[in-house]
Amino acid sequence: MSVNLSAKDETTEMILKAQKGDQQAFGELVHLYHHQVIDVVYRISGDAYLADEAAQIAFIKAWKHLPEYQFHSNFRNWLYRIAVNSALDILRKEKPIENIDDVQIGSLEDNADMIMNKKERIRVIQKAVLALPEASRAVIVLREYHGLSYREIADTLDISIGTVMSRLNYARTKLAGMLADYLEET
Amino acid sequence: MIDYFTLLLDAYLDKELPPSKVHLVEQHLETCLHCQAELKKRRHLIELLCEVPPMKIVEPEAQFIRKVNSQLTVRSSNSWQPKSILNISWQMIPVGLLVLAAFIYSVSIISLIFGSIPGMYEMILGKFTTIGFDFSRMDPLSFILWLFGPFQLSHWSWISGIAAFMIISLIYLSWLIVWWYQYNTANEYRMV
Repeated sequence: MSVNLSAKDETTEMILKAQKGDQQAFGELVHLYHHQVIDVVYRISGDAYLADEAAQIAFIKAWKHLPEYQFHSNFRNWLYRIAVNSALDILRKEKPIENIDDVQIGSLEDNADMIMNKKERIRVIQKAVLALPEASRAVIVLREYHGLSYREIADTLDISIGTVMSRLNYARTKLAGMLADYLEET
Repeated sequence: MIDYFTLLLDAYLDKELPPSKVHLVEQHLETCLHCQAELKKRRHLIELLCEVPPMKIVEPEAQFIRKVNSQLTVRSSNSWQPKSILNISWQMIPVGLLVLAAFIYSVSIISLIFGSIPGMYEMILGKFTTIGFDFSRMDPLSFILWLFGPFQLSHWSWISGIAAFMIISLIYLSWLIVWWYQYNTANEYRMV
């Protein structure tokens, strides 16, 4: 508990320093949230290189708007909001390249067939998620891959909880339809 | 069309339902085979989605941080953040009214003091005429007294004083409400 509190305090201190223009403190924040932000944009865009670009843009925007951040919301969720918007902006401009090979799958113990099957399944799941409309995709990514609560998703995407529920319902219903073959297997 | 219970099933699955509705859904699930199957399907779907692992980072972290840092613009520690015209004008209305009230009070008090001292007008006017102004036909202090005649301290009753105070307070209060609303809604989640 005390460890968490001190980590939180350290993050707060870094944010305060970065708000005052300390680039080194901001670098620490980038180090802290880099993986999570990249993962959000990757799952929304489906492309590792676009995700990298969108994450960079998101952090630069975060730096620019950092003095406006007032600690009322979770800093990670505030970053997610910027990242989601950056990813969607980039997606509107560029068509993502499919690169499933960048995904880490399988352990050394898995046999080749299992890896191929798993790889194929992951490819299909990713395609299904990417086939969702942007609005529903952002909700499902934040919920399933980053474990945000409905309230946090609503705040991050600036929508109501009712909208979160309906978008999540829509996304899950569509995905269940698209992935019906795999759902029957399980 | 979204089925009401399917919506609730999602929230039930995500542990986002209040206890009263959890009971409602569980009661419904006992008898509804369709919802039981739907719940099972959704559980499997979530498991399936979780099979997609996180992205393998394409760029080393240090390089990524360097790239981001190289694109950051220098921000001074005490950089002034420009305020919107709306905020400034809202702030300035009550301040302006207070300044105006203070000005009127001052002028009327000074006028009353000058007016009560015999020969004071003549002395001041005499000073002005020596530097080239001819106030023989224009008495500035009388003009000011006439201009603010209705507002002079001697004409103010306690009712008008309280009314003026309340108007200024109400304007200030409305500004505070607008500021509070903006602070709580727009500021934190401004589109970036």
